[in-house]
Amino acid sequence: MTKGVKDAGKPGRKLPNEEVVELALREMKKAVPEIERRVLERDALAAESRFEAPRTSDIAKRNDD
Amino acid sequence: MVRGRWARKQTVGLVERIEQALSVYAIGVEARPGPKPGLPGLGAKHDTPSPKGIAPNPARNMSIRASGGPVLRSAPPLCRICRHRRRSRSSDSARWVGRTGLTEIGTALVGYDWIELNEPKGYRRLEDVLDDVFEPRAIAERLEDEVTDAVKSVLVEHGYVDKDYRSTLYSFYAKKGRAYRRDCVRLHFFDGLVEFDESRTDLVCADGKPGNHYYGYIVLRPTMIATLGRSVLAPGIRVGAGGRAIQSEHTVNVLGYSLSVWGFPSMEQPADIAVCAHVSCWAILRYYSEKYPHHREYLIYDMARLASAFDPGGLVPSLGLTVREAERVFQAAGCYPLVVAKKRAKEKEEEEEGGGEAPEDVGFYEELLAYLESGFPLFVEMRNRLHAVVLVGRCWRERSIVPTRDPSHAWEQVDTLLMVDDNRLPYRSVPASASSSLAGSPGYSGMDFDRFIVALPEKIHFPAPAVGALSDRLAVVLTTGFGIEEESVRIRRHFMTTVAELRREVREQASQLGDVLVGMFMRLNSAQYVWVVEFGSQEHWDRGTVAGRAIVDATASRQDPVATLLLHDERLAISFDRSPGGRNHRPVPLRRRRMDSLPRLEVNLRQVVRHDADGGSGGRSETGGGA
Repeated sequence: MTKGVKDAGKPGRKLPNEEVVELALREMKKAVPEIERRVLERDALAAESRFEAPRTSDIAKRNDD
Repeated sequence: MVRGRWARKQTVGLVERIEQALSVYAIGVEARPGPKPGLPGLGAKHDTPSPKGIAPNPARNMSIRASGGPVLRSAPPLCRICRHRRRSRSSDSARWVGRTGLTEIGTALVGYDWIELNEPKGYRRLEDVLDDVFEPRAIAERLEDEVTDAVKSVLVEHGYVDKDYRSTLYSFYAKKGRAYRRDCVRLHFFDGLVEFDESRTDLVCADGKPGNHYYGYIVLRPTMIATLGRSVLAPGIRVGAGGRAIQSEHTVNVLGYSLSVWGFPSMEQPADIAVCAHVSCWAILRYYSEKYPHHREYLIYDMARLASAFDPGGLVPSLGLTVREAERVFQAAGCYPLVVAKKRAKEKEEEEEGGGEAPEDVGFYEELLAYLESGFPLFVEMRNRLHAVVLVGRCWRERSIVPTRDPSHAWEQVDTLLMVDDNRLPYRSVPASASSSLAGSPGYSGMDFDRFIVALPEKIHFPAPAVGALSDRLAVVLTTGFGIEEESVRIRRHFMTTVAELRREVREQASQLGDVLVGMFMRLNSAQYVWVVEFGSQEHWDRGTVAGRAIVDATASRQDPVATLLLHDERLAISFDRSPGGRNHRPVPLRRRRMDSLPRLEVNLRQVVRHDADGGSGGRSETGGGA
């Protein structure tokens, strides 16, 4: 999961507050490429299937029960 | 002479017609006789013809009772719609008129019936007081099966004008060969502490507040099939409902009282002018219009109209909607819908290539839960069932499970989902996954969901998957920077809310959060919507607490390097300076007096308060007291 940040010390060790802020800023910047990747992947998938939708309902085929 | 005789004949004919018309209105709609042969008029084609052309005696079709005397009732009239023998729906009204000595003035009076459910017939008494066009037997069976014993009495309000049914009547049913009635019936549900005083036409209860004993209403349409119309029921009276659900407050005017009920709007699909997809769109938009003043109200017929660029009419609406058309409905209604699909196609390819079992699309369900917990009801499509439903709530597991993934999303702790399914009464409980307590029960489960539409407001630019990605990096900060154990950031949960709602919840939890943290929440410099990201261990989850929390600007761009507004654990909080080039990031010691864990925030979904048979109430206990 959390791979840790080498220059931030071991997980579980509390840092001075100022360093915590610096660490948070660095991590947030690192998150941007990952955000881009995940969102684009999801958007592409939704767009791809959006136009091949079958009829979502048909009273003659109500078979949910 | 000839002319004079002709004129006299015409005059006599006219007088006969007027007399007949007066006699019709003297006995009410239900006793309306058929037209005299040779006098075709409005509705003549469909009204029940009077035998041998003799105008019926109005009194024959009425239930008349002298004060305190037995009900004198002749054979019930033929229904002019379905030609079945029907019950006099104004029986109580007629009795009331008899007692008070007032003259029956026909359609000017509507009737009320009061049904005590502790009587042997219970809901079956609906068959005595409702016409067959309302399908009373089927409605009674549904109520018996799907409503708890907390409901002790039902007020039947005849002659109710339902705007949603009228929208379909004006645009659809009025064009049919069969004549459809204009009036509906509304059933109001109460607990056992209310009585109906027939002589005063009043609801009587010890505290003088019938609203405290009210569980909502159901409108019945006179359509012979699929008669269950617009309904708002308290989720607590639904068999099997628990957890939390999206609800809004609905005001109901009856007998001079304004009663309120918290619930989610629902109806059965009319089948010919609207099907499950239309009804699902309608339910979501009606919830919005009741909850948010800036959303206008749409009627059920509007759903068919908004789904396409032209007026669909005719047969088209009964064929259903595509997801794209449903998306269009939300767009036309002023929302900003987002369609999210499960990775079914890709997975199948992988399965075929690898020969193994395809993995579940966890991201789909994490995203689904994130938007649901943000207070947005979800339009859900199930392709294999050709069915559309609305997802409105969830119930955590009674006992949490050990997370199987690392990190684990709160989706793993969801036991059941609450659905508004037009084939059932609202708040149907379905298993969320194969490990749910309801797994194996008949019907569908969360695993059958293929796509969902979330109708977002305009000012949301930071999607749920992006928040999930950001939470991974924030977890690194909490463990390596704040010194939190890795296990304490394992279970993640994120949802969106408005800053106003967030502050309201924080105010309620102020004693646990501490003055410094409360002050930081109150001073947040944010747009209207924020994402809340919570971190905790299984132990935290069981106690309903969290180890750390982040507040993220929901209007931030995906490229924004500092979308986070606030990050805190139990001891320290950081507020970030998001001004261009700003470096005034502030770590603030929280100095909480009570150093116990931070409470989990439950903001957008309202507790399902289950009502038991003796009139008491309580919620189903969920893990961690986070119910």
